[in-house]
Amino acid sequence: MRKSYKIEVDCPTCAAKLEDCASKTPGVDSCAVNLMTQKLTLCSNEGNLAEIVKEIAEKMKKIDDDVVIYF
Amino acid sequence: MTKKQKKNLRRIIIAAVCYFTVMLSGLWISWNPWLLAAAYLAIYLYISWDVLKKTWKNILNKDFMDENFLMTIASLGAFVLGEYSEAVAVMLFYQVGEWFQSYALERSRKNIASLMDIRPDYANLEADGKIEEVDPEDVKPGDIIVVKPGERIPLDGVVVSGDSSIDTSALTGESVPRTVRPGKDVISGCINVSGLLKVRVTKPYESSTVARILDLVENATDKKSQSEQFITKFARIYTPIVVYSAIALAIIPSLITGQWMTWIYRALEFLVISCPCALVISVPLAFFGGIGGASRCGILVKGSTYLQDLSEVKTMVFDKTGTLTHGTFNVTSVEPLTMDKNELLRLCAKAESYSTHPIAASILRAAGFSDPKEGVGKVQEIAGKGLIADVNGKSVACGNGKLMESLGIAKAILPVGSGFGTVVYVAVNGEYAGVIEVADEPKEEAKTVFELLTRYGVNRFVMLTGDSESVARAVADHTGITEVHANLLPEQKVEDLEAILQGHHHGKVAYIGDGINDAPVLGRADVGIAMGGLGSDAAIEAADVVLMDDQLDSLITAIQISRKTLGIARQNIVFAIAVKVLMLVLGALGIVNMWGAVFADVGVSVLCILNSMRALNVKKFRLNQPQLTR
Repeated sequence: MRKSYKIEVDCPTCAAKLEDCASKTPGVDSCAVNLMTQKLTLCSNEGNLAEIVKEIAEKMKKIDDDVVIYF
Repeated sequence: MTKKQKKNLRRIIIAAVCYFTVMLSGLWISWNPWLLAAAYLAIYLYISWDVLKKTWKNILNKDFMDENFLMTIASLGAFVLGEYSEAVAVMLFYQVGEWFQSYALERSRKNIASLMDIRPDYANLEADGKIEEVDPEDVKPGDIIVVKPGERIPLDGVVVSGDSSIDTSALTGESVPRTVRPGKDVISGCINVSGLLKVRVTKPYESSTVARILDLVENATDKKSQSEQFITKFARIYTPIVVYSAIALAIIPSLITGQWMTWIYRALEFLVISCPCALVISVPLAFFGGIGGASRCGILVKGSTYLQDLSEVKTMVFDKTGTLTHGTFNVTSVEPLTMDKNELLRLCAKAESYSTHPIAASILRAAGFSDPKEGVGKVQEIAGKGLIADVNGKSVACGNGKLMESLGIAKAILPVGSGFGTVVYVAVNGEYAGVIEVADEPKEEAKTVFELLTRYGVNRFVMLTGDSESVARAVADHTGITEVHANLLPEQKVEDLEAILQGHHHGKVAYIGDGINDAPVLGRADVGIAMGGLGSDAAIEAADVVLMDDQLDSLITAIQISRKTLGIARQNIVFAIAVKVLMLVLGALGIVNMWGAVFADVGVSVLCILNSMRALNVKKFRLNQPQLTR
């Protein structure tokens, strides 16, 4: 399953952090953060994307709370 | 401005006012040194709490080599050295720069996004004689929608009533409107210009042209180009190098000269200058702008990487039918011996009226009869030769040279055609009457386009075709292509392309086809370019670059855009690195102060962002010749 989420990220470093964090989250097969279109795209074959994105958002709060994910 | 930007702007203004008040008041009042330090510290904490907090978080996460860290140690270092005013100034200036950067980035993003926005907001659904505004996603195939003049067509469909002209420029970049009437297909994303149209929807929104294109364009920047990957890797090794250099700069000269304060201060400047943000932001932005600009010209580029590859194309491999030629058979010449041209065409058309062959169809179309079968008697088909029919009492024979020979007409008097297509000889009552040629004509602009392409470094043009050698040769001669591979089966096209790719060491190989039966070849090339992709799912699916219109000169536009984008990306890389290296040297020598250092960081970033915006500014290239109408 593949789904895109709207995000609010305004610096490339934060985008890289989000991408790093998302790719390390269990269940994520591939992911892409697009700073220009403000989108996080997640791919997962097995996992439940709704839960995965929640987990990423939780983790990001600890890393950089300027990053907002809408889900 | 976003909420966050507004909040930050207010904070910057308040902090700046406080800062200058404290600084200027020092001219009249002699402050208690402790009180002064406290005042500066208060302003400092107010303007930099978010940076400090981020740095702290980063240290906790053991991933702290970023600009927040650099700014924190630079400003805290200045505090420790007793340069209170400078510490606040640096952070204040940094925040101003960051704000401007975020604002410029947001503006650019919005500009580009609005250009690419062809999303329809609603559809006028007709049900039970009433018209209701609904979300395009709720409309099902088979439903009837009404499109008023000035509205965007929300879904793909077929016109059931109404005549109008539609503006396809948002999809193709082509400004000439198309006329539509009942029975014609219309494509979502186009704008209905003049009349009211009723359209029967043929595809659900998710698979309509507009949804597919939006999906493609929005995800285009996910495929990062070499330049972008270079920047990411560069930033990853660059920051640690700079931090260690700064530590060395603080310690080594200090040990020699003993002037610790001076050298630590210079090391802090060094850190501020070195921030790689200018590169990290502006290079992807240039590509984003280039892709946006291209989409406005009717060229869809599926990833930044393909935009970069396009600029390095040295070899172009073309499919013949539909790419170098128009892809449809048309009567190209009528050469009667004595009778009128129209009469010959009409006679031949009547004789062919029962035939379903594509050549017969094109002759019938050219003759334009309402009832072609009228007056046609017995028709006798002669396999491999043609046919003989009774038309209004005359015996009309239409066919190839062999048919003429069998009628006793000498081969010597038969003219030879242009070579692109098929010639149909006509004999009336056993006497040779004339010849009609039907061909899939090569595109007129091809030769000029290829000449222009050589200026952009393309030096090898190859044609692959399933057609016979003689037809392929004729088209090649007309278009100026020298290398022809004819009589190829679809799978042989892939093998041929692979052979070309293997023998190719410099630059990239592009394959240009219509995507109809050459999807594997499109996929195999370095850059697969599909032509005339409007409405063709196969082409949009398989290609890396889609030219929405059918014109070869779009190839030039595509290459121009890719070169311009690459040029801008390179300018930014060179400019940013040059300014930084210069400032790093000057900073280490103590010539530049902290203000200069902050400029080298954020000033350069903003200049690079502004430069990147130029990538958006592209024009569609058109040859100065009347457009061919088909």
